[in-house]
Amino acid sequence: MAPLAVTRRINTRGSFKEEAAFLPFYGTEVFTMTYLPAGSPRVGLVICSSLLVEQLTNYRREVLLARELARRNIAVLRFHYRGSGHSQGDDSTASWETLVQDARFAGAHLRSRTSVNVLSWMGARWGALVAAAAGRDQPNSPLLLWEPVVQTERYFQELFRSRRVRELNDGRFSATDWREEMAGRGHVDILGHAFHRRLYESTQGRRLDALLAGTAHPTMIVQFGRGRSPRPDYQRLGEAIARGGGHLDIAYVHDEPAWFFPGYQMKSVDRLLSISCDWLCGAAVGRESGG
Amino acid sequence: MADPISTHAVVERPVHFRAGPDTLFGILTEAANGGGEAGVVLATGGAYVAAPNRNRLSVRLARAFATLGCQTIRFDYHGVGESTGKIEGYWLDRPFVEDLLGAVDVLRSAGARRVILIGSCFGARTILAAADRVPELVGAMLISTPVRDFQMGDNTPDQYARDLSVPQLLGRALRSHVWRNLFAPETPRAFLRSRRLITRTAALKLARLLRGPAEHGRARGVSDQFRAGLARLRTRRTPLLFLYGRDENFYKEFERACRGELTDLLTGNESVVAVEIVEGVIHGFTTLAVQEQVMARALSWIETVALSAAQTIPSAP
Repeated sequence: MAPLAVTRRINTRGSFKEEAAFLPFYGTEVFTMTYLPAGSPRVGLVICSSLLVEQLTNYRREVLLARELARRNIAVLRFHYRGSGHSQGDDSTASWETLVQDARFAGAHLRSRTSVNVLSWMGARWGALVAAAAGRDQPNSPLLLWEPVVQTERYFQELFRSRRVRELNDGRFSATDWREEMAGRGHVDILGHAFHRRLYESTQGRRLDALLAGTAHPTMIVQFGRGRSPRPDYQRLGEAIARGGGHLDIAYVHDEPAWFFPGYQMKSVDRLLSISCDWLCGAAVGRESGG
Repeated sequence: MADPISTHAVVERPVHFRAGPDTLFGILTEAANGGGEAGVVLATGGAYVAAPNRNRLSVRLARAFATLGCQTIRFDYHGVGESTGKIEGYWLDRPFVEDLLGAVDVLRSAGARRVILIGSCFGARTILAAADRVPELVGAMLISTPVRDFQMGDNTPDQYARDLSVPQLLGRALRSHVWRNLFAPETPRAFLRSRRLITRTAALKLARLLRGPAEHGRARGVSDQFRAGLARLRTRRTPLLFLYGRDENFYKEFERACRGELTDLLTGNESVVAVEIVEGVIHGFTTLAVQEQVMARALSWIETVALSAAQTIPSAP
């Protein structure tokens, strides 16, 4: 898995190194950014981004999370799924299976680059489902989720609603229903991103509770918005996790992440980063030697 | 959209480079059989959008340009994506010139002798401000370029403050949907947007009234920096393509300026400055259809510019 092209940057205090690389995978190249602390990290984290426009809107927050964790001696790997971001590949061939494959590949690369014993996973929105699926073979590893999608059907409804809102805003009206558009063209235009049929069909019916069933991940959800109590779907998820012997922490960030609209900067990024990093460091304590 | 370029046709390598106090990140793309002498910089708009841009538009452009023999750099401004630094906001009269020049340096180091700059919105204004510091410049494509100066997020408030009188503004504020959004909003976002629109419009209008007619550059609507940048490129006879969406406000304002404050700079210069219009709204690249149109225009334009520039040596600024 020798990288094809690499560039490195050492942060100003010398506490970690960032390594950008294109890694060969399945005949194509996956873009990765690895954050290597100066010490000997025992804990690693793979960040699974969301998709479509959310990959852009959450981009910087994920970079800042990775840097903050690297300062705290946690090795981190961020990557772009094949067919997305800087990675090569055709986005029309992306599917649920390729997303999970890419995440596992990223995890394997992080293990090979470092000496981490504990591989933890982070996912934002749709990426939460990918993180939960990729981390299933390490059922005790910490799982950090930012406003996770709990069921794909509801998420798809949100996506299609955002498209309608954008059309109304722009004074445009699609002559065709999204189902007809997907059937005819093989994809739907969601806020300027192509949502392909293969990804849509292969992701249908995915549920976070099913992916977490039988695991005992220490899990934390960061919930955004005004509320100080868990949303009903997170409440139910917490109960399901508790029935399986696990535990779900929920933290609140009173801010609007504007997932679908680039250009908005959250005011509470520092709080988001500190609660995420504090929790992850705490959850990893005692597991470093466990493997 | 599907990546039309074979994995083996292009080579991409990540790069770090300095820009002022910050370390920026970019990706340099070139043909697998080597980079050409023409280099392209892709500058994104000012919405904290990372280098791939919406739906990987910059990635697709870079890979397509590689097949034409151009090497291309797409990069993150400071405070964005993988770069270091912080941004407190975007003001069109404070473009990130150092960032763009840093990207140009990467192209120079990679062997580019002719440089083409392509940018949208804030990126286009950055190009106008930086162009005279790029002696190798042989062409610039400016997409959805605002002619006014305003802070990102203030486009509509600034437009209202400039174009509407106080009674007209009050009339708008009394509309029913404004009150609904303030006192019975359907979403928190609707409330925040309405509140911001009202407060920013009031603040900008007040500032405009207090400033009076003395500040001619802004009172007219066309930014002094925009005019100065255009004038410098006119002197150099650098080929320029302005690309707008027919339905966007930026086009209406540009069109108005072409008939008024920019007439002297654009008249008699048609062989060098082209204006092309596509249907819809380009700004933000929020539909696949508009992205395809921009791709097509950019490819045909760059082929013309890169090939014709190959016959000439860029003139000094």
